[in-house]
Amino acid sequence: MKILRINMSQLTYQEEEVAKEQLLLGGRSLTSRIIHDEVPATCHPLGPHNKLVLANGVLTGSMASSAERSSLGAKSPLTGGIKESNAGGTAGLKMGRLGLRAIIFEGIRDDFYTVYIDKDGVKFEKADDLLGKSMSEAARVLYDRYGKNVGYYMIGVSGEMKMNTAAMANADKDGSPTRFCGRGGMGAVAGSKGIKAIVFNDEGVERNRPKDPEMFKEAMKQYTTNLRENPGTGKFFPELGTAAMVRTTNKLGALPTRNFSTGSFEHYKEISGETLREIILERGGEGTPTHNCMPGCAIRCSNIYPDEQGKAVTSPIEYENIGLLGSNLGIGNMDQIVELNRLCNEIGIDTIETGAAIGVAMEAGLLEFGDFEGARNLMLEVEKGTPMGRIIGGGAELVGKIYGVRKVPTVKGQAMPAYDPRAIKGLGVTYATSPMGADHTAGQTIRAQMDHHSPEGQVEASKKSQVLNTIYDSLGICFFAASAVGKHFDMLARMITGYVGVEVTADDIKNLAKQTLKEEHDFNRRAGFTRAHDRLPEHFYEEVNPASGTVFDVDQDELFTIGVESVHAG
Amino acid sequence: MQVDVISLIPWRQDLTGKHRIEEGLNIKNFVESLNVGWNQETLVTVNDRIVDEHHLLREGDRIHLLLPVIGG
Repeated sequence: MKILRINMSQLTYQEEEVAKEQLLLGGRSLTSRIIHDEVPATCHPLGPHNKLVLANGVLTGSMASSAERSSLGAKSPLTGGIKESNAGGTAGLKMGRLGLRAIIFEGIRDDFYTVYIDKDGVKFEKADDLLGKSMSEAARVLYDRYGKNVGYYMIGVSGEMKMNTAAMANADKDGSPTRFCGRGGMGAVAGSKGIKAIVFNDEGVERNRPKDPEMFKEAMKQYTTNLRENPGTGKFFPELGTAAMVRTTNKLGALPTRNFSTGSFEHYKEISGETLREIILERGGEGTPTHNCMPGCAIRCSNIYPDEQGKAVTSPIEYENIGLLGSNLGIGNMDQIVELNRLCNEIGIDTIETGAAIGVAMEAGLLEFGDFEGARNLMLEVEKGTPMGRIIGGGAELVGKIYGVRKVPTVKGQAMPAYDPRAIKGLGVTYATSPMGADHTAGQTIRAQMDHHSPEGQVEASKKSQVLNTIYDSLGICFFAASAVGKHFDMLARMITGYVGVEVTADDIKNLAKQTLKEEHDFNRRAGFTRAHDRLPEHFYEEVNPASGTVFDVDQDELFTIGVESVHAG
Repeated sequence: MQVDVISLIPWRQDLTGKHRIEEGLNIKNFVESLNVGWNQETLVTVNDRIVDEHHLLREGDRIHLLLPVIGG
């Protein structure tokens, strides 16, 4: 297993062998370790000292179900802190087959290249003919040039313009470039380094084999059985996808509505997972309510949304997108939400950040809540790179500053995902204290059977979840598998030991995740973060969410114990 | 005594309605008596609050069975 180090200024590369003990570092634990060790915390995110790290999870490429995720890490232009964002899809699998655990991109340049990697090495090819195109058009050019079987990561026009909302995407198993490392402006960092696309051609390469096939097979069998038998992974996700959340969060008063002004939406039924499924099944054609983004994923939470003629519009329609591009904008029509989602995908921008940015623009009175055409036009401005488009493309916090809006749903500069923190207070703790900024995947607590409206026990719940999420982000396993894994970390340990050939225990896995969090907080502290950054926006403490009847009232001193200052506590 | 159940589990709509139960029954035992796995197949609110497994049911309680998933 190797790490590839690429200098984009000089268009040169070198390979480094991964030491055996380092094989347990993957995904987030690896991107954060490299950023922590090699990137000056005070550097400019788009400057020559920042690095972009693409890392596979420890189990990515093992062919374990739902374990093909890869992570992008860098200092974030959106938050100014450390960032990791991961996605499913196919690029990680191809990269793993080429024997690569990670790629470290260094340097900057003003023009754009495709970095083509196959068994013979790395080639740098000018990417001028890919520029200015939609993601799907650019993907077609890549497939025509390199063949249908390649994997890739690619930025959109937003990344070319180095916008804070710019993401980086790879293809699902059907070749659609819709699996996004969406958060934190990783596409802008790639753009600053002149990376338009990274292409993986694994032709002529043997598939990866576990070091201890018997141990791996035995643990995999248990894991797969759990995935099949667990109600969440075996039924809820395949039938309704993540959109099943809409009715649950609406009931709990947590569905962000009209720039997080309340937590329930009068049109929630029209944008629910049940309605989504009905529309897809009724229209048929290329649409499907059950779809796997990664080859062999048993959970299959993804979907393909068809238009009235049955032609695929985009994929996947997920809960966060419905929340931020739907109820948060006062839009209660599924076709309209899907169109906004499609535009985000084609431009290559984070759906959460963009939905929040337009929500703040609506709060400012630039357009009315519920104005679908207005929201769509703003996205087209982003695509064109007009001054207005660059403001929206700069993210929610920037929009708030420019238009003098006080109620901006961000933490550390990053927009909240689709849970009002006054109604799901454990997530509020995660938003405030995660090194990543407001991020549901950094410490999800909503699944717990606990009183989410009470301030009690939320810091502990968030702390546990932050460790848990870091484990999955590092292994390359989709977090949705967590309910099937449960507390069986010994099973995960056997899968890892069997696959990479390094003895590891359940405790080792947890300790590694804790170490990763510590390194991330340490980086942020050196970047200038203090406890002042471990807070929600002021109005969430003072103004009641009418749907839940609550404010965010978790004890702030307790909350600080797991934030940036926790790094001092050891 | 009697409690109201509103099931938001699409394939368990049959559970929606009034249920007669004995006094002293806790929410976990009640949910399991409906053949729904506690903390596996549903998130449960009683009178709009998520409660723990020991919560004792009372006459007229309104129980929502929500889908226990996470967003992506």
